[in-house]
Amino acid sequence: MSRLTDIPAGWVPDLKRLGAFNFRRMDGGWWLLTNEWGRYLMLEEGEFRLFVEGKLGDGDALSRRLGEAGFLRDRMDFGALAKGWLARTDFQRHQGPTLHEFVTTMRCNLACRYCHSSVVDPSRTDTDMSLETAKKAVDFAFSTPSPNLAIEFQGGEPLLNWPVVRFVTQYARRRAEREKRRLMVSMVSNFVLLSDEKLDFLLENFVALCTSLDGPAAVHDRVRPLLGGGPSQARVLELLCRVQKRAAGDGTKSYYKPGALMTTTRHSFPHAEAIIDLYAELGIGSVFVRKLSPIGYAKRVWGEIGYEPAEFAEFYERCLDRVLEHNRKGTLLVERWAFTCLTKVLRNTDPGYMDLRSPTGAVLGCLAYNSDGRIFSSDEGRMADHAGDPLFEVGRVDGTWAAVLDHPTTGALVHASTLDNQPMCDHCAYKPWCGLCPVYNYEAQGNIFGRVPESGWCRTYMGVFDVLMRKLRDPEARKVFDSWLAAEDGRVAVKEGK
Amino acid sequence: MSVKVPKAVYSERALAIAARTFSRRAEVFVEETKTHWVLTLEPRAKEALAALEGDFLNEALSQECRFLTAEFNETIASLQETQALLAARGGEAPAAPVKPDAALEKEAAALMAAVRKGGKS
Ligand code: SF4
Ligand code: SF4
Repeated sequence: MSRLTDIPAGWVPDLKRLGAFNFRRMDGGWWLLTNEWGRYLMLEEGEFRLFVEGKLGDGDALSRRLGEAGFLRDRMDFGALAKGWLARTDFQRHQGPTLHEFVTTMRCNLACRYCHSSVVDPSRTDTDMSLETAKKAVDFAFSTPSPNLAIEFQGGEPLLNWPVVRFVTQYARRRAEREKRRLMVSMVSNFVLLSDEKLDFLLENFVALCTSLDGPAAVHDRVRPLLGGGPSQARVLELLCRVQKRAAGDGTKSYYKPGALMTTTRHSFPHAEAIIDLYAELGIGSVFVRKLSPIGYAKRVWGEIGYEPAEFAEFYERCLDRVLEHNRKGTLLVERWAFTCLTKVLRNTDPGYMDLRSPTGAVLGCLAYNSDGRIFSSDEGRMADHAGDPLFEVGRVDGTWAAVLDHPTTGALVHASTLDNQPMCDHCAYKPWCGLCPVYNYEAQGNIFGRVPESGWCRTYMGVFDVLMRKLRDPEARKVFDSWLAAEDGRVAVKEGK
Repeated sequence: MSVKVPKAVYSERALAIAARTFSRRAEVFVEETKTHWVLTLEPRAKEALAALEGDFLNEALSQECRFLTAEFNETIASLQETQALLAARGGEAPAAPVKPDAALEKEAAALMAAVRKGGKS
């Protein structure tokens, strides 16, 4: 199927009645309709034709559905529809940014095939963030206007620069308390260096912990060996279980449950079901079937571990099917990508995922602080720098937020990632929920605008959206999806004291 | 070998972006007649010239197409871009950024001293 579809030859559209909308002919012959208000409908071919040709009667049930959802020009309830538009684009009115990614060191004790840290010599302590830079980075993050801040420790392996992790956590908590701002602190770590003492500190300071687990040993150890060689999966599992146990507490106090993230490489493909089974068995509650992008260091090894978007979509569908199977058998396991997209589709709200925003979340929603004090538009921008291109540097920790926003790169990123400026996106049925990454475009196609019709980014997202749309029509799958969203609604209500 | 493309289809702006995009693959030289651009591509490494030219012209066309879309949607796109940038700044009259006061600086110095004492591990 082509990625943009047209009205079939021989149909005679009645342009007077049609509201503005995008559409896509789906496998199986039905049509997906979406609009800027964030509303969607799935129509059978006969229904779609009646609508397009203006042959529906006013009292028709389908007419009412189309009218309510803003697809009929003479039946627009602008008040209700505008509310939908505002909810869908809420992030465009956020004081930003929320997410501040701290690269505490470039060193790591693992040598993952797709990671730039795998080539940083462990003796390179000069790639560690100093305490002085860390303080300036926290001060910079707090100079930005968002009432909600999230600091995420990244690397390299953050535990290799423990003083900075400790200092940033305590100092940022202190500042947040004084300024009455909400602060979330999290850390992505391979856990290998996590002593009891460190774990206690992190849990007591409510640092959310997350590790990387690509699946069973056959997958994980192939791409995530220890530095110098040797398997790491068994150790990661053992540590994850220890963290889970400790985080469960003794009933008097509750801590964040640890999470895990997987990255899909070509080696994951034969193990889709086993990967999901492992996550279900661990009781983590969620799995994020993440794609790998040919950005930064991963670009150099793409021939060995990369893949075509269609291959990823197929793998993704197998994973999602297994996730749904576990849910039907009573194990709550949420696939994060599906959850993110479906929050957009079914709730018409923004779940805060930076990749799927127009304009992109880079700079506006997140910043990456390099260990040397340079600030990048996003973690991907920082990766490009590590591979030798500093284009996405937008400031320094001793600069100002206003200067970062006024940086020419920031303006260019915002413009390049606004989907209304992109010819193919402008006509795409997935536009209300999608986003573009200018760093990906630059790395894969040579400029920040990219060529969307040939872009692997687009084909990947379109493939995933296609899978999700198909599943949404399956009543059993829909039941599971609704249960995930209802559980989240409940959590939000508790958080907001409703 | 040179290729001649009509000015009515390819703008100078689109060719300039395409040339920049291709700068790692080829050097692009542009001459003009009244109605056409005359392009000469010199690949930096060995590669088929016809494919390189085709790819280059696709890039230029893609840029051209993007200009048209951006122009057509200028109102809604610039509204969203401006709104997002303005909101990120903190609105029309953003509050002055909070700076740590003397008491907080003192606390920060004490925290730093404590973690330094604890060493790297
Ligand atoms: S554990 Fe993380 S930082 Fe270390 S090499 Fe692997 S991906 Fe990179
Ligand atoms: S990037 Fe997203 S919105 Fe643009 S064409 Fe592809 S799927 Fe559609």
